[in-house]
Amino acid sequence: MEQVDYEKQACVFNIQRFSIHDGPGIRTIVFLKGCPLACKWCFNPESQSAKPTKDFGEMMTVKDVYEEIKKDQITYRRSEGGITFSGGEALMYPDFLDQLITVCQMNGWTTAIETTAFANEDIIRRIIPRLDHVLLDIKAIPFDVHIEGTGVKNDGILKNALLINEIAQHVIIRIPVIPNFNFSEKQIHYICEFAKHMSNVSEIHLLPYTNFGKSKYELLNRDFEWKDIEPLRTADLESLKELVEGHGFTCKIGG
Amino acid sequence: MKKYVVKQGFSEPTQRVKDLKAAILNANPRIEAERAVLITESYKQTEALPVVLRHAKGLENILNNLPVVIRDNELIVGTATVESRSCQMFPEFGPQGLDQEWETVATRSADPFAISSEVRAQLEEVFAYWKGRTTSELATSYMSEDTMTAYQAGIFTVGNYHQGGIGHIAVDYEKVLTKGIRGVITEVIQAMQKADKKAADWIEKEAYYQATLITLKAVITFANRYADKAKEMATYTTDPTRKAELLKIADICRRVPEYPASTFHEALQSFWFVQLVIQIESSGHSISPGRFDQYMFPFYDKDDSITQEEAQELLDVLFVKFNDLNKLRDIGTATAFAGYQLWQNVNCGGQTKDGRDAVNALSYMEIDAMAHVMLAMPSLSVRVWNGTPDQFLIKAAELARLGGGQPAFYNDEEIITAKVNRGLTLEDARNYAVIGCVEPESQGKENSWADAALFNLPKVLEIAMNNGRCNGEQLGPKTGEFADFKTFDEFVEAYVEQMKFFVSLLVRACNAVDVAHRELGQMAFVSTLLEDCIGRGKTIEQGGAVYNFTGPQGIGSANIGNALMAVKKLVFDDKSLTMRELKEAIDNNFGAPQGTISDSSISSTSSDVAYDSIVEAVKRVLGENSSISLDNIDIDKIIASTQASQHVAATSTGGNSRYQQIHQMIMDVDKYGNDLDEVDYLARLGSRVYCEELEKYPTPRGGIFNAGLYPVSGNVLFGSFIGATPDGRYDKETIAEGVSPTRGTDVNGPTAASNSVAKLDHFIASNGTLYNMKFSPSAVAGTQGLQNLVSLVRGYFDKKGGHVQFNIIDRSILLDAQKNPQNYKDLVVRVAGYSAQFIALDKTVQDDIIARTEFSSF
Repeated sequence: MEQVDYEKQACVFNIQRFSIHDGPGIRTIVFLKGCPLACKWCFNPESQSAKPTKDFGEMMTVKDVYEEIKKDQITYRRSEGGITFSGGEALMYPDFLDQLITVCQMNGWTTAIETTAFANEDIIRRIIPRLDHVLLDIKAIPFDVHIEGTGVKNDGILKNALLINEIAQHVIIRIPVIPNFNFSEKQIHYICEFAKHMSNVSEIHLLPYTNFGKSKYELLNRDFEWKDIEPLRTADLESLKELVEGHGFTCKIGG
Repeated sequence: MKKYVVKQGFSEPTQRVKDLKAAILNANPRIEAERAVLITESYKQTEALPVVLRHAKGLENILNNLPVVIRDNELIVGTATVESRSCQMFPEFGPQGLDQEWETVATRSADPFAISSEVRAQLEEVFAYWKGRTTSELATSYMSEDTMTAYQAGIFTVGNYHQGGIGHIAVDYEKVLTKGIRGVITEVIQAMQKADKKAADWIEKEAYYQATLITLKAVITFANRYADKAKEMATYTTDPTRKAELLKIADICRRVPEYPASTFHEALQSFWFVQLVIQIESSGHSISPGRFDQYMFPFYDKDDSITQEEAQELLDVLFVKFNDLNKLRDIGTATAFAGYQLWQNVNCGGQTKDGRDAVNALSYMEIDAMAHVMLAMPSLSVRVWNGTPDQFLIKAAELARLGGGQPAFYNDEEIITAKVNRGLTLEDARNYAVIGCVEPESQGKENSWADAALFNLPKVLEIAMNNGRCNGEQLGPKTGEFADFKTFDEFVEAYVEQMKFFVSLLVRACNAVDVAHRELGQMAFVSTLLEDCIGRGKTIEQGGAVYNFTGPQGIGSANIGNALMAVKKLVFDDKSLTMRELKEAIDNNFGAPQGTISDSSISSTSSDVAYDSIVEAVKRVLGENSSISLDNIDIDKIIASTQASQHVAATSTGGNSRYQQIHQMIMDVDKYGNDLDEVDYLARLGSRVYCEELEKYPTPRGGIFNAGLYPVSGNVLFGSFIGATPDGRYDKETIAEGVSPTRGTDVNGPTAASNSVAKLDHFIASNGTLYNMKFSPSAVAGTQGLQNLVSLVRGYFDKKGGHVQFNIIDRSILLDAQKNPQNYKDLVVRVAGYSAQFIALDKTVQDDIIARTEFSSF
């Protein structure tokens, strides 16, 4: 029997049961707080800081989280679902993830991560191979576009993407399609061209921009540069979907 | 064996099916008098005969003289009325309120029926004869004063059989299909020959046997009248195709149900005559075909003359035909059941008697027929066990996604165990059929007397809080004043004591009705199709069936759980309130006005949508409550008070009076429906007490009482009889339906809610439990969505829930949810990459989802 350190902690800002669009089957998503990126359109702005605040997030141990996620264990088994780690950026808590993945595996639940791939190489090497599914966000290829939109460089992300391609069991690329950022044939084309270098990727999802975050910015007393930008509809992405398919990938709009 | 190839989606029905469906939807229901006149004519001539013979001769007179009508395009024939979707009257059970409603029945908003002056005159004369001779009046005379008081105070209602005939039966159709009515006659004659003529009860048995023979022969005559009619119509028809069809119909009606069916078409026609005659014999509803795919499959399988498409069309037209039948109910009940519903429940899947998987080609074809027809009847029940094929459940989920609220899913693993615990053999338990709403009964062997009553669980809690006083009057035992309870257990004990007392009154009311039916309402025909009536020489009302039960339903499990939890937590665990403070807040309706509030405030809070949704709720409500002092039921008042309390509920939070603070404290306590053990197990305790108490009582027919936990939508009406309760419910506010959580208090998503519901004891509630879930169509979109829905069903059933049914919600509901979020806290929708609780979303996001739903393909 593997030893699990149930006392490892992470800052959790939400545990969402009955999630049916982030990996196969019926899943519970564990949202970990803290993100190295600062995307201007972020719809979970409360997740950017890694510290718990009065309204958002609490420190939870592996045991606390296990108590919560095991409530739907029958549904995971029935639907071949399981647990998805999201954020923020879940890879900010490698020790915690390591333990929680073990717990999931001991229970027979599949594991998935939704990640920006912004992390140290050793963390990627340690965590990614253990997961059943990786939902890898790629936002933009041009260096300047990426830094303008997210506040960080993407050379590390892209390098990690290629590494993930080698070591992950299953990878899907997810592109949040954002007006005034990458909502153009050119930008999506670049990502597809990059993805061709990832031999194990056959599927790309386009996630239409939503403005769910709007009211949260008000709540946080923060300016929201995107506040007047309308959400995209599935129909707006149809031509991009064709473009992606033209590159030989299976493409889905929405998760 | 004939196979069915499963494909995605549903095919188009044929033009004939569409035309027949349109005819149903365009029909103008009216009241017809023939049955009432014919039975009365017969009864006037048989006053000296035994009851069972009198009713049999009445049925004979009806079947010999009822107009015979074959409608355009029909392939399956036989109707109770000249006009489609019209109704006959059953004066022997009571006037069904019509004596009060001559002027308004044609114009009322719920289920109007036209009535001609001629029919009115005929019925007035009929009712004059029946005054003082009905089962309804006899049953009332058997009820003691305290029973009547409790009945009228809304602690329970036994309205269903108090006002009508015995229904809720799934008979042995197979017997008629395979042996023919002639075979049944032979069985009766053999039983007569074998019977001990020296026995003291022989004279009663002899009357029963004679009565059955009269009705069986009358059924053959009835079918032959259809054969004659079809032949006659064929001679006048110029269309050669229709002529051939009519000649075929004539041929078939000449053979069945008299002789065994030899083709699929004959089997369907034979089935329909049985289904029809049972509903002409008596006004009891929920006459359920039950395991149709099981007894009908052999006829489809061995019929080489028919293609799958032809068989599908025949099945489709039969499913339309179920809607040809109709029933008049008094205004109260009709308002509850608007939509002309008779609950003819068709099943599919499950297990065979010997425990193999029962899914066959017809199981799938039933699902197709539901998709083709999409009318109010029949209901489709899908039985699920560990061995049910996934592709079958996915097909069923695909039907659910069409949004008609069908099918319902049932858990064999739970129900069969529960039925065995009630004394059924394993084989008979495996052969259960779902009838009516959710009630399982062994097909052809059980008289479950389901829906015998609705019982108001939170009302009993209210009485326990008032030392046995009901609306100020000492009705129950003195179990202590609320403020004096020193421990939580003392309060629970008081609730249990009151439960014992009021269950005993409920039992007496049920038995009064039971005995009245035995003395005045014996049905010979239906009593040949339920084993072992012929063997015992008894009608179903005398206890002729192999298994006998009485099934009254408890409503409001969630309210009990939440109320007990609030008392325990606030008073005894945290000591943040005293019993006195809590009681005072409750007595003062948490600071909100009692009951109704002024008209101006109502109109200022009610949007049209809110009003409509409440009207809808009330329509679904009054249940089979027709006998709760009907004159006093004022729909508008119930609507007003429900609205008033909702208004209060919506606006009172954040108030600063002490009572409002207490209300907020209560609302902050854990609620049933969120997968929290303590409160969930209190809900289990509260409802289990009721079930445990009932099973101690025998019925007059030789079985025991067998509780269910489902509402038949009595929850709004029952709420109007109860003041504020410790779960934070306001005065007269609706109580929770079925075993579902209180509307708006389950906020952790569908898996959490269903886990909570599964923590109730579904096994002891062996007359059925009912759990409704709501989804948006996008939450179950795509193949993955169907698989997830199926996984949710399987997961709930793994935890031993009994029944679940889905409302796949459309746009209009989402709009209503925006306007009345308090009613929709359990509504889960697909957002973008994830699913979420609809009302928790930002308005802009909600708008977005509503717009998206409009573009969806459902």
